[in-house]
Amino acid sequence: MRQPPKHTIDPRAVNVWKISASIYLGILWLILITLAVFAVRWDWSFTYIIGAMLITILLSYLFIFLFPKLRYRRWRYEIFEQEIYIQHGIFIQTRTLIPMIRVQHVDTEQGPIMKRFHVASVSISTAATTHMIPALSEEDASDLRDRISQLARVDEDDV
Amino acid sequence: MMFELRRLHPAAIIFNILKSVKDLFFSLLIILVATDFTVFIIALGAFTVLASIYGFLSWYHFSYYVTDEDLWIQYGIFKRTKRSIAKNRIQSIDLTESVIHRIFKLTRVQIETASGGKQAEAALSAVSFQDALGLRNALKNSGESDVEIPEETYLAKKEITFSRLLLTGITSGGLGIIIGFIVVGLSELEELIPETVYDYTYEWLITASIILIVLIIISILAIIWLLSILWTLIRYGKFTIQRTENELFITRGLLEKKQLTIPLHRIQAIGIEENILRQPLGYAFIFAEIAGGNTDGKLADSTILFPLLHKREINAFLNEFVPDFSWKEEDVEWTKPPTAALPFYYVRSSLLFLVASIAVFIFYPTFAWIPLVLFLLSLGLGWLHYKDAGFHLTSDRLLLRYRFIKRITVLVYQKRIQAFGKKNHALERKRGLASMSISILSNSGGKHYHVKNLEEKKIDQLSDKIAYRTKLE
Repeated sequence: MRQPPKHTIDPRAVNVWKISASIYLGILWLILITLAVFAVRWDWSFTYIIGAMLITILLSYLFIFLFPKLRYRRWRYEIFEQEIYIQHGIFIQTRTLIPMIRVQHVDTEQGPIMKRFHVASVSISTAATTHMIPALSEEDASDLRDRISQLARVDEDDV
Repeated sequence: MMFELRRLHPAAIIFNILKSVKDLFFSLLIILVATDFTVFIIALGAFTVLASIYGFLSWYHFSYYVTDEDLWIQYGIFKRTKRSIAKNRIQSIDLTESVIHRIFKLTRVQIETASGGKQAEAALSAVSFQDALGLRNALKNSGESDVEIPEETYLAKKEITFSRLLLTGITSGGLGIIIGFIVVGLSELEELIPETVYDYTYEWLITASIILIVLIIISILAIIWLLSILWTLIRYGKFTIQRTENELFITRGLLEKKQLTIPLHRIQAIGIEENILRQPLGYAFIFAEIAGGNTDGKLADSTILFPLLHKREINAFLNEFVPDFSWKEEDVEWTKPPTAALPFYYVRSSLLFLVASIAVFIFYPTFAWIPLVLFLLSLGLGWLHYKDAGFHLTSDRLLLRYRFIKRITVLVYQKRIQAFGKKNHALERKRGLASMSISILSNSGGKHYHVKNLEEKKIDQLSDKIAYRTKLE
C-alpha cells in the first residue's frame, strides 16, 4: 500500500458529478427562491434567507466546482491477479485491498447522466463489503467486470 | 421418507394468537384511547375471535416433513407456500424453549442456512421434544439410509458455576443500560402524571431531609443493580458449552432455554471483550463472529461463547473449544501506535466534552464543573485508547486490539479477511500515521474492525504480508 494504484478513472466522471450535484443544488436554490418570493410578498425577515443563500453559494462552489475535480484526482484503482486495490477520498484518503477469492459478484451500473457521457460504474461485492469504482468508460467497465468475475471464479472456499 | 408429514403441536395456536396480539397491540391501544369503552370491548371481542380463528387455521395449514434430500415446509391459509431447504445447506438447528414451551414440554426449532440475516430460514414454533430430536437426526442424516447416526461424543464441556454467574451479573454493564432506561422512562412518565401529584411530591421533597433523598436514590440504584444481576442470572443461567469434532453446542437460560449449534468451520473470528469493571479484576468474556446463521439475542450480533472467564483460563478454554483460535497473551508482540499518535487520541476522545465545557461555561457558569470533569475523564479514556491499540501478525493470523469503552481483542485468520483498508487525512500523512481497518463476515453481514493512528509504514508492511499480490500486467 506504499504506492497508489496505477489507473485513474474516466475524466468524464468530473462532468457526471458536476451535473448530478447541480441538480441537487438546483432543487435547493428553487426552494430558497420560492421562500425569498414569499418573504417579499408577506414582509418576512430576510436575515435567515440571506444566511441560507450564503451557505448555499458556498455549497454550490464546493460540490459543483471544487469537490468533483479533487475527487477525480484522488480516485485510483488497480487490478492484480489476486486482489483489487482501490484508493479514494478527498480529505481522508482511503486505500482498500480486496482479495480476489472473496469477491462474490461484480456489477456494472449506469444512471441516466452516466449514460449520456458513456461511462458506467463497477461495484464489487464481497460477503461483507461493497466497493464501487464510480466511473469508467463503458468498454472499460464491462471489461473490468468480466475480468474480475473470471479471476474471482478460481477459488471456491467456504464463504 | 425419513420424517413423516406432520403438523406442529396444537400449542402453536397459542403462539399464533400471541403473535397477532403483539402485532395489533398498538391499534387496540389507539382504539382504547380514541373511542369509548364499549367500542373497545366490542373491538376486543371481535379481535379475540378473529385472532383465534386465524391462529387455528394457520396451525391447521402448517405442516412439514423430511425427505432424503430436503426439509419441506408448507403453510399459508389463502396463499399456499411450499418451501424446501436442502439438507446439506442447513447450517444449524437451534432449539429455544420459552416458559410456555416448558409447560407443555415443547421447543421451538429454528433452522438456519448460510444466508445470514436476522430471520431464520425456517422456524417451527412448537414441536414436542421427541419430534425435535427426531427431526434433528433426520436432518443431519443426509444419506439414503434410515440408520441412526451414533450419539455424538463430546470432546469438551464447560458449565458456568453459580459464583461465576453472580460475578458476571455484578460486573455486567447492565447497570448502565437499566439506568438509561429509567431516565428515559421517567422523562416519558412526566407527560402522564397529573400536575397536582407533581406539585405535592415536589413540596414533600423540599421539606424532607437531604439524607432521606440520598437514601432513596441509593436504594433505587441498588434495586436497579439487583435487577441487572437477576437479568444476567436468567439469561446466562446454566450456561453450558460443549464441543464435538466439528461443532459447538451452547445451552443457556433459566426461564427461556436456548440451544445454539455453531459449526466450527464457520467461525470467522474469536474475540475477547473486557469492560471497565472486569478488566481490573482480570475477567473477560469470549465471543465469536459466525458467518450466517445464529443470532444470539437481538442486542448483540456476536455470539457469546462463554460469559465470564479469568485471563488465566482463556488460553485453556480456547485450546479446548476452538483450538484453531488459541493464542497466548505472553507470545504477542503488539505493534503499537507511536507517541506522535497520542495527540490524535486525546483530541478524538475529548473534543466533544471540550466544546460542551466551553458552551456550559458561557451559558451556565455554575454548572461548568460537570462537563469539565467529563472532559478530564475523556482525556484519561483517550490515553487508554492509545495504550490499548495495536495489532500482531503471525504467519496466517492477525490479532487486533482496540478500545472504545470496553477493550476488544480479536483474532482473525488472514484468509477470512474480506477487505483490508488504510485511511489517513492530511494531518496524519504529515506525521507518517494512518488507521487500518479489516472487514470480516458476521451473521449480520459485514463486521469492521479499526485500529487508529498507527505508523503508516507498519501498516504498509502489514498489507504487504497480507496481500497475495501477483501482478497481472
